[in-house]
Amino acid sequence: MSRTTARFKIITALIFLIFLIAGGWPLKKHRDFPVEIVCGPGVTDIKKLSDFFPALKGSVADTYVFVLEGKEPGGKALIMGNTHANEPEGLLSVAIMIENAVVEKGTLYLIPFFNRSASLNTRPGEGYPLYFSITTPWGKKTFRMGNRDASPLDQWPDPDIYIHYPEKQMLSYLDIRNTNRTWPGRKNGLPMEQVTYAAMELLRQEKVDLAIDLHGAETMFPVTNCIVAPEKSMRIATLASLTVKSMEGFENHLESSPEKFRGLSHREIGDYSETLPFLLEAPIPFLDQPTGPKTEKLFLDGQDEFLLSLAKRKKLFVPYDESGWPLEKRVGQHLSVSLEIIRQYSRKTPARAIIIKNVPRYAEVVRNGVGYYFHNPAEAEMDKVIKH
Amino acid sequence: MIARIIMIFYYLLCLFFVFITLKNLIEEKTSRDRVILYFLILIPFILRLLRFK
Repeated sequence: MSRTTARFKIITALIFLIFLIAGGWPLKKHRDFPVEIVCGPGVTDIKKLSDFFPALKGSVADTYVFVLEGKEPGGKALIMGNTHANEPEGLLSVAIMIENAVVEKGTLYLIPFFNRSASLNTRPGEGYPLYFSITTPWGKKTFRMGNRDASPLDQWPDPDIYIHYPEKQMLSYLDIRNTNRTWPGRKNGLPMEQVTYAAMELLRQEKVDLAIDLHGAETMFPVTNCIVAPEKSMRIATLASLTVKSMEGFENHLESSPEKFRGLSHREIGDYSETLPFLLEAPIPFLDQPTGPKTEKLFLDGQDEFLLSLAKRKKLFVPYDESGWPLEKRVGQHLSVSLEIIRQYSRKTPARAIIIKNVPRYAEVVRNGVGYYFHNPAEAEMDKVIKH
Repeated sequence: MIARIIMIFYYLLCLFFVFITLKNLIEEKTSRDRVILYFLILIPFILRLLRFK
């Protein structure tokens, strides 16, 4: 080998190393970045999914379940955020509940990072930011922006075709890492099937009455800005939808859970347990394909000129103007609709009522902003701060 | 359990490709294009082995 070739190899190796470190290190930092949640006065116990299904213990997929138990016995509700970690409105809504809610009657189970592996995953190929920050009265609070599916670092390889268990429906190979396609889960299945199996065990063992799965969807997708519910949950969903429209002034239409599309929380929870499932979709302009750059600003304010142009041509499924669809509206509507579903259920079955205080509703979140409801981890007692 | 064993095999496969690519890279004597190509091929395998992506 000539001296020139050797020199070329060394220089190329150095350039390669620079690219590897510049590209790889931010991804490593993102995976190790802890999101802090301050336990509020209502948190009575902190469990993990592995408490309901021990096989998950010690795995990346194991995640916290915050329990808020009232003094008076009543009904039980589970609320899940970050089933899809690129739709963090659910995580923010659940985190606001953990930090502020006080349950007077019944029990609330809150899972902020339902698909924890997806929250450690990134989507740099589509230009997604790795983080987003929210302004609070005490400074910026930063969250990881995750991906829709679990990280291949935690579950790999994917099958050529994903055959859903137990219904045997053929689904996209990618959906084996999507925790809204693996319900009701499988005891000896892949990690994401075990996550949903663990959640089903939670619902069955604790006899949970309501399960609310918080999501977001594109403004160009018809199933957005809505409550998806199966037949058994439809009455309560209808009352909640009508009430938020008349009392709080925002639209949240109803979508029927399709019987023949398997693996979704709003279908399988209802079919495989006594629990009434609901899935809430908030419109997220950031998720739409024909937008400008996928910036943190677009995620926060939801303002995009291309979507505005499409809205004028009536191509969107939600009303859209220069004000965009900001995070406050998305989180506010998740909180209000969740509270309304619980309220309607409590009215219908007083013996299993769940009474929750100190959770802001739509108008308050729009007025004060999302950050207003987060507490400063630096000022909280150390054992009250959960890093996940 | 089977899935975990398959995953371990995938990591071993990554290690194998890193090894043979490095071997070819070291043995390459003339083509600069191939040197660059070998480095490019290495990137995804190394990112996976380091569990970065």
